[in-house]
Amino acid sequence: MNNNFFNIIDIINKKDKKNGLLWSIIITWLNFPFLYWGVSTDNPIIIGLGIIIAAVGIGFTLYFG
Amino acid sequence: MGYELNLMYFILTLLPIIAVLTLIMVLKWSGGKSGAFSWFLAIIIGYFVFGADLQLIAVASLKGLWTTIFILYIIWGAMALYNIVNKIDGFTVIAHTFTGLTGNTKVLQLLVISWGFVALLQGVAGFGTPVAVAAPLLVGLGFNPIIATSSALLGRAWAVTFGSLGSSYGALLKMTNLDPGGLSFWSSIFLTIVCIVTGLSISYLYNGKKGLKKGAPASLAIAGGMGCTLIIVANLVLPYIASLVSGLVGMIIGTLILPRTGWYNNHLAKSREKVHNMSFYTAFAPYLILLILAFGIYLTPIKSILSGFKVGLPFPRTETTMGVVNQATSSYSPISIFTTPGTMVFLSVLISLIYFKLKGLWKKNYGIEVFNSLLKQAIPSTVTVMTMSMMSVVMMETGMTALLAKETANIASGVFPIASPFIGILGAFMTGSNTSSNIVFAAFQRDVAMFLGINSLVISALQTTGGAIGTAISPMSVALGTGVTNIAGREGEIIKRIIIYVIIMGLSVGIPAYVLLYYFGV
Repeated sequence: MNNNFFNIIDIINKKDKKNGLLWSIIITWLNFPFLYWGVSTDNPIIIGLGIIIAAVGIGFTLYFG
Repeated sequence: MGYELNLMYFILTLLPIIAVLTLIMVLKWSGGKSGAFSWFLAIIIGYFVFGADLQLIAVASLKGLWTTIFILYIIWGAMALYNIVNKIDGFTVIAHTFTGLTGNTKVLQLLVISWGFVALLQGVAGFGTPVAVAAPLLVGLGFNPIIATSSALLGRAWAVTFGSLGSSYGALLKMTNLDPGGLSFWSSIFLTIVCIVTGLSISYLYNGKKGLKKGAPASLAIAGGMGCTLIIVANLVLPYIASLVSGLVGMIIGTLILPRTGWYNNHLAKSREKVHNMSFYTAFAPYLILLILAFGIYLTPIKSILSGFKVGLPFPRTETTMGVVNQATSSYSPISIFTTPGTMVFLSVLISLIYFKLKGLWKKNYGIEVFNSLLKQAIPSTVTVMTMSMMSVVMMETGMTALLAKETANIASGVFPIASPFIGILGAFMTGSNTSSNIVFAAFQRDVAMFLGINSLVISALQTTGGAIGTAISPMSVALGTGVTNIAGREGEIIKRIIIYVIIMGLSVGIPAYVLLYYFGV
């Protein structure tokens, strides 16, 4: 992890694989409790939002992987 | 399942697996990218074709992700262990010692470490630990990372069922409810056949016909020792320690007996000079600590005391519109915090660091350097493991995996014993685990055997043998291997290289079983 880690635009532009994949891991794991809350309470809005965030994680993986 | 099986469903079910194989092997995508795509594909098919709702997909993906904690814990720990030894230049010393012990014969070194040592580790720690420990060790000994990873993956497979203190065998017993004596008998016979094929495969993998010629005597001697031990221990002593004892016998034959025989002793005197001030025991200390911890915890009553502390998440019941039901669970895939292999590995890391510091081998800047290289190595494998695991659970919970196995059994009903190990392989390929493969398919295979009127003990043993073999090409295991040998992204090369051996291993047990069942009426 370096200073560039927080500059997501730069990471995307430079297609920085290491930091990009690290973000994909972080997004996926941060989404875990959120999505889990959604399925535990059977709340379709939270589940829907969680799936959208998961899709962003997939997008990151497909782009940087 | 409330739907009719047909070819269209079968093809659609196969798509995510075909996608993984094609993307990794043909288009040379990384494991993570292929896993992400195939996960997405499995979700689309699960939603539009198999009638899964968003909650089921979310639950399945979360379950998949939860399962990876256990695997990632081992991967990160094993990579840390490797980097620590590498940082103090320990591999030079280890390489030198192994060279001396095995008479400088590279193929013998490869067999001893990727097959005997791996079986020993599989016997105690299991799961991904043997590959994660042995593959970088082989790289440190100067082997090509692709050969090192492929050999460790192949070398571990035969020892999986009776390894990890018999967790896969336990799952087989639990799922089939068949006679334990009969199951351990047939499983040990089939796994011994696989063991023989493994040694020859590793020799051939190393250097083609030349490697086979050089390695064949060692392969047969080690396989003979380990195979006989496996059969004896599994049937007359205790199945749960069969791989452990076999691995130990393999190590003894490979390091103490074979180098003194006419086949290999001509190289023995070449590497006696000292290369480093560090002793072998110091350099190898992290791995010795790991072995001591594993033995001390897994083979003593301490395990039953510590394994009480488990963490597992509750998940709600889910159902597809086609009637596939996944029951609610109060503790899904619980992790036993203190006895999980990852804890052993991290404890070894911690103790090793203290030991090296006391010995004056650990310098101030080493910590941050090891952390940076660990981060670089572990990220790609982490993504692969996460996406592949989520894909496989989505496929399982939408009913796709069960459908795939059922249709395979329908298509291959006349030659079911030959197809049977491949169903086990499929299960392990999907889940990365022999235990999970048995949980998913063992009862199903037993039922098909009963339906066809053939010996269900033999078919169930073929299931677990296939499950063991399949761990070699599971994308999760492969990603673990490529991660620790610093060749992440080259998973396709590994799978391409070893898939043929996996098929041969499957056939090497399937064909004799077919002959026994249909021609000898076993």
